Amino acid sequence: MSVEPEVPIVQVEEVRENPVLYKIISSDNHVFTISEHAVKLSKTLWDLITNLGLTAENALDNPIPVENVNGKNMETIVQFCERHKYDEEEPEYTNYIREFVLPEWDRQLLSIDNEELFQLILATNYLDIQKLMDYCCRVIGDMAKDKTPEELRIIYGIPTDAEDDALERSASDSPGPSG
Amino acid sequence: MSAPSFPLLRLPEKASDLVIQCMEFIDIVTFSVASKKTKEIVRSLNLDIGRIALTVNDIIKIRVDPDEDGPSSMVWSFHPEKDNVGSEPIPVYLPARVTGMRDFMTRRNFVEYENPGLSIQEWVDHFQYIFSIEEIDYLSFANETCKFDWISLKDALGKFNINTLFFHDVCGLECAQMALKHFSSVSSVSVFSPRFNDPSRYSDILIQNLDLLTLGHEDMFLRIGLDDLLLMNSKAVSIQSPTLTDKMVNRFFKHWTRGSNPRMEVAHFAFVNDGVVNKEIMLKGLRYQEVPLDEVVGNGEKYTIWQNDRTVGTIRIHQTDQGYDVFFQLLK
Repeated sequence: MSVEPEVPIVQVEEVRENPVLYKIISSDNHVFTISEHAVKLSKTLWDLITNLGLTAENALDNPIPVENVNGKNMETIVQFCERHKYDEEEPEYTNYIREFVLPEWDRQLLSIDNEELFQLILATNYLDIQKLMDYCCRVIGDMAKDKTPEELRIIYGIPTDAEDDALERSASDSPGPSG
Repeated sequence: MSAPSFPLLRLPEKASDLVIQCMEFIDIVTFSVASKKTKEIVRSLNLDIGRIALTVNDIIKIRVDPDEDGPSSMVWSFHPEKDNVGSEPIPVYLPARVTGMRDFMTRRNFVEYENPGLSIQEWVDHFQYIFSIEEIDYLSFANETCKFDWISLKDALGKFNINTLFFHDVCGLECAQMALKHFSSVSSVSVFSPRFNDPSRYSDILIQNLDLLTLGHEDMFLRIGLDDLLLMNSKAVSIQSPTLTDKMVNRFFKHWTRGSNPRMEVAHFAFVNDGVVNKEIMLKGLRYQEVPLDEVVGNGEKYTIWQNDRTVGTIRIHQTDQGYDVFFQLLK
């Protein structure tokens, strides 16, 4: 399969230790190159690469189309994966609460508006990048810090019980497919 | 114009769960009271918060994981509309304001907001529900008298499965006796208040059929005597007293071999009077046998004693920094 890029290829820093690079095409036809170590952070992409049988020799000739992720999000994701490709494996969390400090570089990277952050999480979830997922969720979780229930309803768009009930009623009142 | 909301509830479940797991526990509790849906979401996470306890002093508080400094340690205080003034006892109030904080010293993660309409009972219910907790670890009293009308307090808290009544600081004897009367289903009582230094004044508490009775604290000068020990009817007793002597405890064990304290399975005596516990005196007149050191679990010397041919117990004597600990364990 061959897809002609409509925009210039986004360059990543040269990877001296591991010259294997892959090409990824976003839903809006932006093309990205990403190193092997970095792409391994995405379980979805790495499974795809493995299943497609891509190798060092044929990787750049076979761009991987990712139709669920646009160029803007892919750019953030590629930057993140390149930044963290040599990180040590995350320790297992000993309880259900994830206590970690978000590095400043990542906080800057994720200083984007709520709609962009929402789309980035959907993309991260699709590409199955656990570390980026943790970091995005920390940014969103931090929005709750020291807030009142009313403030949380606004910050997270949480409907009141009355609104939930009204939604439920209108859903049950609407005619079904055969109706 | 305010920024648009982050649509948390529209995230895939895995992501929204992760967001909540990235919050501080204080914020998770606040999130859980935002709506019925958020309450269910928090419950579905099966978060482990350890124990919860209730304190009844000038106001009522919920303490989470009170003896730890873990992520779930927090104190939730429920404040009345005005200071609880007026002639006491007063009925349990509907909170006007709620504060939550991770710890008192640093007031870390401090939140304060208008009570979203929940009664004290509903707040306790809420905590139990969202964190799937069946038992309240303890209900504590630290004031000389209870500020609240006992019937009202029982109505508010009596439905909960409370493990221990805890009397400390300057909690008075009458307060404790009323608490025991109104929360009689507790299985354990702990007494750390100097108002309880004279056990002859509360033999009604000593004779309770409890699972555990704990008496004595470094702030107390508990004047325990043999007669007090013989009155105790709990499965486990823990006594810390400067008036304990090896001779007294020896006599207590002799009474046990003759059938006294028939419910007792475990006992701990903390000697804190700088005296020496002499094992010869402790074991005098008892039928005993030393347990080989390599079979002793824990520090100290251990001896098996016989009540009769079928009932056997062990005594372990251990020297500590503060004095001596003597442990008794019934062998079944």
